[in-house]
Amino acid sequence: MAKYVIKRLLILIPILFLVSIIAFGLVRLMPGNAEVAYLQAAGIPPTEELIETVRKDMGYDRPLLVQYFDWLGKAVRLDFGISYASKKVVSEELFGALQYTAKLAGFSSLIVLAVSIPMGIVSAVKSNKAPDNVNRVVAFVGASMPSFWLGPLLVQLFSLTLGWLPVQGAMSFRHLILPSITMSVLYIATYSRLLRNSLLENISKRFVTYSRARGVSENKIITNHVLRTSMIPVVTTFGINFGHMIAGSTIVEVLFSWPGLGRLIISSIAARDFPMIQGYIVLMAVIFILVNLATDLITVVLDPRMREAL
Amino acid sequence: MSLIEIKKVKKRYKVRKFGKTYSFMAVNDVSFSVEEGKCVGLVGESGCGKSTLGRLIVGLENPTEGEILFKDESVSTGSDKKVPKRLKFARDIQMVFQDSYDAVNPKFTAKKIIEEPLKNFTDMTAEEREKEVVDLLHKVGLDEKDKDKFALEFSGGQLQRVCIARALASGPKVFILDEPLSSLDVSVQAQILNLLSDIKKDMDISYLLISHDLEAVYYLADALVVMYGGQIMEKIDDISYFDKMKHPYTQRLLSSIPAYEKLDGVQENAEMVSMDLHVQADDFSGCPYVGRCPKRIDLCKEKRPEMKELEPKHYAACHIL
Repeated sequence: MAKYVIKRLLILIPILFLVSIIAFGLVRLMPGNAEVAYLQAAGIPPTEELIETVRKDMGYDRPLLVQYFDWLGKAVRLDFGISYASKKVVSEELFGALQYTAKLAGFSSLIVLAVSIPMGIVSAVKSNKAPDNVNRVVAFVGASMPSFWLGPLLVQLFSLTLGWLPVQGAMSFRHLILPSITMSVLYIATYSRLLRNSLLENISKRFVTYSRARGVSENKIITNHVLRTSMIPVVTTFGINFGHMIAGSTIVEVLFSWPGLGRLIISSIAARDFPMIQGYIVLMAVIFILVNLATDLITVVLDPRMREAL
Repeated sequence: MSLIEIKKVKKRYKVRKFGKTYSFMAVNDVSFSVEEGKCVGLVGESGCGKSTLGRLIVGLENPTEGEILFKDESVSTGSDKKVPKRLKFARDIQMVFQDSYDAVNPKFTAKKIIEEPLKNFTDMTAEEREKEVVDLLHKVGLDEKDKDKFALEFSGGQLQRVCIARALASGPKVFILDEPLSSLDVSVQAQILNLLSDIKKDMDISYLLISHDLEAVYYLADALVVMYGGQIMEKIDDISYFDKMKHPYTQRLLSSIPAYEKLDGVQENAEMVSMDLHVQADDFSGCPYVGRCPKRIDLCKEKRPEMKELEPKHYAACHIL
């Protein structure tokens, strides 16, 4: 197991190398150039001379390869430079925002798991009966509601009409509730159906019927024999989606003025804040890889047979 | 004393075919009992209702009519709709299934498989269970080091041994053996048969051995029930009457398969076999075997033969006997 983890972590190195080339290269390919963006961000109207000065200052007059390795050398020490827009250190800004986004994604995940697992189990045990049909409708509605619509609806109900929760901001735990719910609805819909189908597939296995004949109670059959295996597709999808939650939280963050990564990167892209964009791409790559590794490890725990594949 | 008593049990299934619903009797008016410490063989071809009977006994389903008693207490709730009281009797009635690979959770090791009934039915501590698992493995002729192997790492015969160990774990009074040999090759069949025979002697467990293999049943059984089309054709309470069995269907089972066409002069054909569902239909009043019986008379189509005593401990349902 430890060997496998180390192996997976070592693979990080070549992957990150590729990511760095992409991060560096993509930004160069973006429309507009860095010098102009830099001056505009500082509120100085760009003139020929100024652009020339900035280019020299920032070393953009050197060959591309030199620039890349210079950037890479700093990047491995988590030094992505200074943001054009805020004039703050990029890595500090990113990690600050990441904390908020992680809070949001983490709490959303908790809600997703806490709701979709019981929902899936009930749907499977009572498949095609009333509870399952109710869940099916709920899931269908949930999956069809875009967050930019659901979010305002929730705000309208819980903040404006009932006055229970704050409209936006990130001061306290109470601020976390509405954005998390908005974010989790789609995933609840997906996972509850996914788990239901996966459970039903496993419940119909012969050994499950036979366990009944041997006197294992229905609850024990679900928990000991069926649920573990059925969780595997859920965990796999969850691993992929957790990355998306972090990378795709933009709409919810903008909606609720949540100071997370999504909002940060949207404003950075608009401002052509190249150091920030580069840092963001690398950070996202690391998060995706680590989450995938975690997913694979959980899968192994759920299905001991896979241990041999390691 | 009879441990399991099956009293006039009927099980009706509904089949939908081309939009019409037919109901047929998978088990029709079956009565026999399993005496303590004895092995009853239940023989018949596939579709004759013997596995359904097994499912009824362990309480996976309820009989439509009739009663199944374990130690004079009914195992079923008497209605098709309600959940049977299977959990109450599960500790005493354990089952061994046909295909061992289908009967175990493929994600479990042998230890986990055998441990499950211990966890389920006893208050043993983890160490006690561990010890018991090793004991059980030895009992069924496996090694201690096999306990950490996963189900799919065993051969069919070994895994069937694991399943037998699992069935033994709860300390049952009765084994329902549903075709325990038919997924194994012949040499392994003999080993498992010997194992079952040893267990029966050593541990005082009664068997209901469901099989289509008369030879295997003869080796293990103390009494024999022959079923066809959901009904009992012939029944002996003592295996020493084996040679005297004379129902036309039993005769046919006894003659080995390649030879029997010549023996009784009847050719199997699709028309005859297709009568099977028809003879199990609710409204059919004749003998279920009439379509294939070489010795049939006109009465067989109209009237179902009653079970009659041919001699002590030997019963058959046939008009010509």
